[in-house]
Amino acid sequence: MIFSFKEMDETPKSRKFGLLKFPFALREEVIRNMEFMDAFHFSTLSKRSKRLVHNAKLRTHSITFCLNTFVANDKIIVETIKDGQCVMISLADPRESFKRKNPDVIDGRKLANLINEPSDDYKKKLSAHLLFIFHFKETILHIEKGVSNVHFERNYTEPLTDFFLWDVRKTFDFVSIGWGSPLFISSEDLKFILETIKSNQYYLGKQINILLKQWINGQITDLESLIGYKRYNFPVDVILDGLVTMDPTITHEQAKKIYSRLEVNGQLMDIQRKVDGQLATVLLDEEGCSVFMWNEKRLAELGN
Amino acid sequence: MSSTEQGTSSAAPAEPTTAPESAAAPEVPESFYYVHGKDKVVHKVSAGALQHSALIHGMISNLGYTEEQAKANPFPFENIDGDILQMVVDWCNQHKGKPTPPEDTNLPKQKEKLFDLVLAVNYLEIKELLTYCCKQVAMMVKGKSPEEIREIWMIPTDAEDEAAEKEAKKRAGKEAAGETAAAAGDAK
Repeated sequence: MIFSFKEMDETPKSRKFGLLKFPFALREEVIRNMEFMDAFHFSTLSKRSKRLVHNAKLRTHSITFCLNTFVANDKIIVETIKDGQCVMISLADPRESFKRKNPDVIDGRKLANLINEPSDDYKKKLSAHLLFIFHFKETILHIEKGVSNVHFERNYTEPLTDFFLWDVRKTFDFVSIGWGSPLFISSEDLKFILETIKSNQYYLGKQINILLKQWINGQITDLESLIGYKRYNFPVDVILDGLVTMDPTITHEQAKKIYSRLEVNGQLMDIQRKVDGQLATVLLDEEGCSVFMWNEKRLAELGN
Repeated sequence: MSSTEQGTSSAAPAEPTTAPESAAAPEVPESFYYVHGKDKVVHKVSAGALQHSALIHGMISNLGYTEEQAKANPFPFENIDGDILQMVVDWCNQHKGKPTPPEDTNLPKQKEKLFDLVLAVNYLEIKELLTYCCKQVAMMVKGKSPEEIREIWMIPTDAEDEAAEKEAKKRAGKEAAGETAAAAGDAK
């Protein structure tokens, strides 16, 4: 019997070998076995190598963008495997950044300089490159309070709506504001986050509490209703912290129509605006927090 | 093809292995097959060891060769260097019927040998060994700078890639023109 075999996919002709002589599937398998920083370095070598890393679908657990009120603390944290070792990349000027205190932190500017693409902003360039080449199971955004400022003013010049990151990514798996220590952002910024930045889950910390206080004190006048779903992840005592509550304007039965529910099982209570005595009813139940601001027309419709 | 058993792999068992004595289970003699690479040196390998290779296993599973037929018809792998095939055969023998360990530290460190081995193992479809090999290739650049990686893996720059692409297009154009001219000549 005579056997005939197909040729090997790529029979090398010279004794000089390179990774690109491997068949596609093999190249990708090699990439999938690379460590995070090695794969990053490889991806900066050419357009082809960048595409190769992207196509290899190198599984990486999470990328967290930590944007801080103190801009020198901005960083990217990559967790290659769940609960594994993290790679920390500083996004700040190395002269200012927390890298000075931690030698394990990688200088983001240096990494961005390796990427051969035109961009006027190294943070955008690096973030876009990382999000393109790696396949992160979770993409997380933390907006944190820094140690130097009390109010959320990045370098006192950059408003939250102008963050570099929004040009690169507006969709996340988790967004938190003030995780760990309370961070107060304006209601405009909160509205921007909730309407423009999409996330499967939010942690808003004291944001809803702050918003309700602002309404009570007359700082916000155009709020008609507010809904905070449980997925925004806030405890009841945080929402009600420092608020004076009263008996509700409506019964649980009336609340069904107001909040569009078949059943209303949670807590109902009123809050009152100081300047004009306007009432709002707060419903706290399994779905989250819903606030309904009353006006004359709405009260008339209620027929109480 | 002139094949002799002089090159029989030293790591391969010279004789069929014997199963532990048991009154209930009658002894089934192990079957052997023969392979050779570019150097024509024939390696005698047991069917058990060859199970690692999906390519060979697929071929032999329905052959039903006798020992003589198998000996007379070694599988020719002309595209695999003799020393590389020897490594593959040794690995298959060492891991015959055993669960494969999470790591294999006995792979060649020399770049050219390792690359040859990867291509051979990929061709022979030896999944576990391929995984080790790919890990080993990835480890070659561990902790290296981009330029070091470029050198080790011979990654062309964008400019070199573009030049090669241009050259390939030019060549393809010339070949197409040549074929058209030949076809026109035939038509006459």
